[in-house]
Amino acid sequence: MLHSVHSSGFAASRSTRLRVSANAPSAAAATGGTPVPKNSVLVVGATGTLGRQIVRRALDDGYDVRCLVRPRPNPADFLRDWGAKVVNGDLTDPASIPACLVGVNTVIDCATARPEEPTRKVDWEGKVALIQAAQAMGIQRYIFFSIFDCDKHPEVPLMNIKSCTEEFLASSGLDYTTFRLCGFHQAVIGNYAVPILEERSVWGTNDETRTAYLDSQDVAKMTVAALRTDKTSRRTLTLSGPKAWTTREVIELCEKMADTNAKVTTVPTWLLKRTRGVLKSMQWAADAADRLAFAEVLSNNEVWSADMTETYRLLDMDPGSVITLESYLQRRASGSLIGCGFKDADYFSRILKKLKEVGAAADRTNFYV
Amino acid sequence: MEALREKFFRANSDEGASISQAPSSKDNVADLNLNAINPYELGRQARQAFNDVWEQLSRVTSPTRSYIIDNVLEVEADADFQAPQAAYTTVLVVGATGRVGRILVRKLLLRGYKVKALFRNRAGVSKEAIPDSVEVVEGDVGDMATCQKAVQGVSKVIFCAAARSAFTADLLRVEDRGVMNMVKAMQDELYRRAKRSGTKFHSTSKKELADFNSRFHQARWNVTFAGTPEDAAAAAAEGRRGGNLMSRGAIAEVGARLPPRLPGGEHRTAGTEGIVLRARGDAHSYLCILETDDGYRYGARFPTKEGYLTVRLPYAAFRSEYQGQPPLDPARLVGIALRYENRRSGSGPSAAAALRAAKGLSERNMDELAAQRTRDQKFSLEVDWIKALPGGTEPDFVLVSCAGRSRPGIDPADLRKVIDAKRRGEENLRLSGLGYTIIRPGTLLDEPGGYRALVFDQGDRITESIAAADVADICLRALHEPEGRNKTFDVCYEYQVDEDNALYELVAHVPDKRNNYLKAAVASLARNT
Repeated sequence: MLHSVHSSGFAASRSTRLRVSANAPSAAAATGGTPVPKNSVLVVGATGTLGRQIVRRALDDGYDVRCLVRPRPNPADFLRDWGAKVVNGDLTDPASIPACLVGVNTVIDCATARPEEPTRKVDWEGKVALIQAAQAMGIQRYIFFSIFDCDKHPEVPLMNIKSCTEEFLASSGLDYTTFRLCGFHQAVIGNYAVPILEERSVWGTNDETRTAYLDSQDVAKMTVAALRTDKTSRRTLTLSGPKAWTTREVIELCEKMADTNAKVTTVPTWLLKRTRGVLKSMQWAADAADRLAFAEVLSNNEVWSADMTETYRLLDMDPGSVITLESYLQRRASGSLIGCGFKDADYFSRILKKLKEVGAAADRTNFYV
Repeated sequence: MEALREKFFRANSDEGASISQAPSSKDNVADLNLNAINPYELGRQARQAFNDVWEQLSRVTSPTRSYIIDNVLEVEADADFQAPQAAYTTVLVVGATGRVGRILVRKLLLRGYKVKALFRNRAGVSKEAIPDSVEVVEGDVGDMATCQKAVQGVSKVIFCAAARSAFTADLLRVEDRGVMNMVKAMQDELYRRAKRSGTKFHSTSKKELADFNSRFHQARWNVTFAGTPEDAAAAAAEGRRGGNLMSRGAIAEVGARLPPRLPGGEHRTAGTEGIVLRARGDAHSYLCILETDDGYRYGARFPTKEGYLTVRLPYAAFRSEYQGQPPLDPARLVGIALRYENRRSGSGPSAAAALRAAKGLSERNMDELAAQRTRDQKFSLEVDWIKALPGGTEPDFVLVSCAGRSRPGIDPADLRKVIDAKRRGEENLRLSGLGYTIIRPGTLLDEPGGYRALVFDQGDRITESIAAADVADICLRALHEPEGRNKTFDVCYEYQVDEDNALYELVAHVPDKRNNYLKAAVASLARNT
């Protein structure tokens, strides 16, 4: 049976590792029941950056895709417009999950908690419920997305949770594949490109941590490729991009594309750690402190990149087909064929306009105070 | 913290000038004082400042996650999913509930096409199975009125419907008449669209060369050549070419000169790619002769059967009369003729005896041979009309047929019936004048597509199966593939040819999303098949 650690005090529970275990499903659950078509896929977190790319690719390859989406007053219609089926459910409500798993052969889990949501409820309890439901319903294939080197940093709560989920999944008896991701190109747009365009100051750290960014489209391609082969079953694979970048290099690259000089404010790591310490001491700011927990990792100056030759071989992919960060930004920047800088591109003006609309609404949902 | 203070005071004033800068005017000072004591305003500004600082801090500490961008980032145009022509193309998918049709509808929507689907029973299909952006037409494909309603506003048709059962009535309705109805409706629609846009004759309608219902053509067509003078000349009444040819090697030819311009002013045969004619034959084979303005003649032989038939003769089938002639240029056609040649050998007893001995015939069959000879001397061809087939770049109608391999769910006994019905449907499409691509896949599988290499072939030789998703991908690419126009081909997974039958080599193509594998695959196949 699943054990969960009861919090005996906030500070204590955050530093202890959670002890988990699960029984492999009994034979009775695996056999029997109606046969499920082999090309039916459930994507959890289909509205996210990665999820929508996976839905697109799977639809194009001929899978019957079902998306688990929370009921919303304005639902995301683009999924339905593409021809995917949309089912309503919520990871925080475990009773709503089994109904969505009926008739599904593969589950792809790319969901994570939004900043305004409690991480533990969604990323731990919700995922555990999902895995248990999948065990019970006899799901044939389970794909999970985790974070690079999550087992090496138990002090960061999200990484701790991810590594515990990995272990839980591995011991559950499902035919799983775990992908550990380093970072998406799309994050670079949000964190660096947009502030540079808006001519706001960009805050960066002075550490030398290198991250190998990868395009979410390529991750989607690799995921769908992993579905068709047995070579990746019961394995944990790391997906990293072709080149690892530091924050400073990324800002320089964006400056080059935008032809401007960004106003960079360097935040020293000790400042972040101290802020986190301050916030941790206050109970209501515990989640906020969690977000800053990553600062501990930054100071280690690690290289977030892994050797991908084995992965490419397993997935039958060509290493040269992966999009690099420069070409990604270049493509976004040059909306026209002439290849003028950021400022003239349609794409960015649309993003900025939408950001203004969404930013006005987001202010109200910021949770920390 | 310096940054915090800066932010706070910057948010305070209206223009963004900080207090530490040059002294502001009197009004500003007054405003500032008022604002300074308004607690709500102060609170809001403080929160704004904290927001900004907090956002930057959390961004710094999680450089690889960007929360707000998820809502804002529109789905990027993936190079793999771009179809530049999709923006102004409406595609009608017939058979959108089938295996291929379902996947095809999704792929079209992903690339931005406007999709129209024909369903027999809209209520029977679950709500989520059809996205809202698909326009639905209800009705059966065997009903002409439904087909006409379905093709309104459509520029391309993909027909992947099949009869659900092997009853002859079903087969006839869907595979034979259904295709015919769709084809006719599509032609009408294209013609209507051309009329609306002002040109009198749409580029996809056939051009009239001879219509023997009108006296005009009957009068113009004359015997141009009749073999040796002692033969009875053919009568030209009612477009009938018939008569008796007594001697060996006699030729009877009936033809007319074509004025190069149609009554509307458009050039009659420029840009066309073949001749189609409707006639009632008598099992002899005839020749169609075309003459260009520099005196060259080209001929194509076609067989006829007893009864009405439509014959399609692409220009590629026309052989030049003498060697060294330039290839047939349709823009320079000035004359057309139909010829019958009595080619069977004369009645020498030695020949007959040899024939008899060769076939081991008895006395009785000698009379048959004699009858045959007289039959050869009589010929009769009733022609209804002759038209020129329009040329074009892209196919307008994509038909998914079958390769003739057995399918689960069909009796082997019924298989012949099904294949015949499908072939009749294909023939209807070919004779219509629309640009077509006919795809004959092997047995369909419910697998994800895009992984195994595919083999494209012509000639009923394939044995393997293929995923339905791959067929959908081929249909999609065929929509805009000029190389695939007017071609029929089989497609299946790659396989090894038997050692004994290794007379031909199969070239396999990997259906990668990025490259246009269809162009390479289909370019080497024969056209007008």
